[in-house]
Amino acid sequence: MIRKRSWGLTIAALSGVVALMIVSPVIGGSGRTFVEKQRSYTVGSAAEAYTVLRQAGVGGRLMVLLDERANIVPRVYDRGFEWSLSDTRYEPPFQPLNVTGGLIETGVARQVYFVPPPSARAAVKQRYAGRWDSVDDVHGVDRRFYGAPVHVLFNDLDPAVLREKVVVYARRDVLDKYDPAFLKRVMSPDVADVVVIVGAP
Amino acid sequence: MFPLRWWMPFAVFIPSYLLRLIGLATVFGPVEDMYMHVENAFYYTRYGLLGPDNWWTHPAKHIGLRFASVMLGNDILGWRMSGVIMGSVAVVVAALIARRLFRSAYPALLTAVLFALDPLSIAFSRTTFEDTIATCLTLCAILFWLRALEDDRTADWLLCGLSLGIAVACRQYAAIPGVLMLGVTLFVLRRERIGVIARTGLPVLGVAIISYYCWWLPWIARGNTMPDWWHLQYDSLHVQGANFQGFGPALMGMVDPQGWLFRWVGLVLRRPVDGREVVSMMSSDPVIWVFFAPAIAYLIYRSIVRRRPEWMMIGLSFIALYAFFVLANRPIMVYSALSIVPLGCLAVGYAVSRFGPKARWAVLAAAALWGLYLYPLAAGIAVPLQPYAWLLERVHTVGG
Repeated sequence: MIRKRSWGLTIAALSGVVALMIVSPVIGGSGRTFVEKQRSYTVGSAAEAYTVLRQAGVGGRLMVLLDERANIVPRVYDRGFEWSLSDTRYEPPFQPLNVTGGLIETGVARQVYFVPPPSARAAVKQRYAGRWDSVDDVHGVDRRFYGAPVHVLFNDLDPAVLREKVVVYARRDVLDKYDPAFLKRVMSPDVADVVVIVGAP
Repeated sequence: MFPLRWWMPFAVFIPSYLLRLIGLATVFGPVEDMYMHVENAFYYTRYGLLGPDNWWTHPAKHIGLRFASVMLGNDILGWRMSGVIMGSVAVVVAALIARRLFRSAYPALLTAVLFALDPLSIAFSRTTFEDTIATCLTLCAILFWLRALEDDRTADWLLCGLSLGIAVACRQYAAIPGVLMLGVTLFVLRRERIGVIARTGLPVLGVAIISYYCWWLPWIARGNTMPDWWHLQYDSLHVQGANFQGFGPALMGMVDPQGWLFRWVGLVLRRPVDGREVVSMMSSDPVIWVFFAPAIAYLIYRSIVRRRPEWMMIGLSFIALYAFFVLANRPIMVYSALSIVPLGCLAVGYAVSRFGPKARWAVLAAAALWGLYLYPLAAGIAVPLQPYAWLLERVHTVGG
């Protein structure tokens, strides 16, 4: 036998749940900075790109990565373990050679879409073949880096699947290996509000 | 129910605490992993990052570990001290549950002795972080739930939800007793009007959800939202689902004659093992565990005879958690089965209390002596191995 309670406590508790559900997207969205007009940066190195993006104030964003290096997504566990053993100051690890990791770690990117050029897809696929995650020609491979999804795609990204504006990070020396129509679409102001081209012209 | 004196919780807590404290800084254990966990605790509290620890590890652990390392010291002692405290509190709470469930001093006393001296509990309290918290808070939730069922105080209902939410935030298997508590509550209240049940239950549910979800706020503040959270949970289940096997392979390891006694619940290592593995194997105290199954069966039987659904909840929780762990492909029983131990101890405490007065005191003494005999192995204290020769030979560790 339980006593009859007022609805006040129920309303308060459920209001708390609803408030948390409402506040969460607001908190999550508040870290994202969109720029009104597309900004385009040309920088000389990954370290400069990192600095530029940090100074631009973008955060919590989807990042489209145009590169061909198969090892662009680091081996998470091993690297983390090395850092933990070597770095007693507990400073956040930053790898200038791997901007993906740095941008995820510092909160600029919350998800990465890695689109290698068609000529490099076989090599990238080979790298992931035989691992625990299945390689799918259509959907690619989904990996995690510090909990952030990293989608490795083996097809040109359809910008329609992106529901918000993205940061495009591209290496200049591989741009001519992509379909020009795809590049034009993914770098258009409707899709990308920040474009970073790395490498001397 | 015997009256609770002020000194009784301390009388249980202090020996349990000392048993877990002795040699804490020198005992071996997974210290190497702790550097990764501690690093992640810092990253999560500061940046909301889920690495370099496994990305599916729940963030409550990161916040708790950071809190512990700041408050108790950022070294081996500090990292382990929270487990020692929570593991000792868990013994007190288990005894209080026994007192409330069985209304008698003996089951509470035997539960406390068994749980305080249980090698798995001692090893866990000294070397792991979130399992000890999850188990302690699950027991707290059960205690508050029993109080709420009996006295119907709003504070007890809400504390039950709060404890359960944080427990699930540390380890998801804590949801299993939660679901069973919900089921038994609905059974007990089946004749109440739905509005009355809703006004009692929904606040509990709300508090549990909030206390589970608030640990994710640093991660959310990085830009993630609810769909990201659902994706993360789905991926987490996908990855961890690969760790589970079917009934067949799980049970195959237990079929040989010694399997039931010395390699209980899949603790099968078919090769010579080193000293660390000896401790791991002895952690699941085989002699006591042998009594768990019949004691649980007896408790369920008595719950039907005496119409005590809360006893049924304890028995079903044990079975459900046991099935969950025994199906795990990894030797998870070694390091994640702590939540089962107090439930088994409760059942053994009750079953033994039904014996005659002389027999049950002899059992209490035997249980205490057996626990003290195993204590050096569980605590990693250097002792002559000769008294353990027969035992170690049985687990294929000597001359194997």
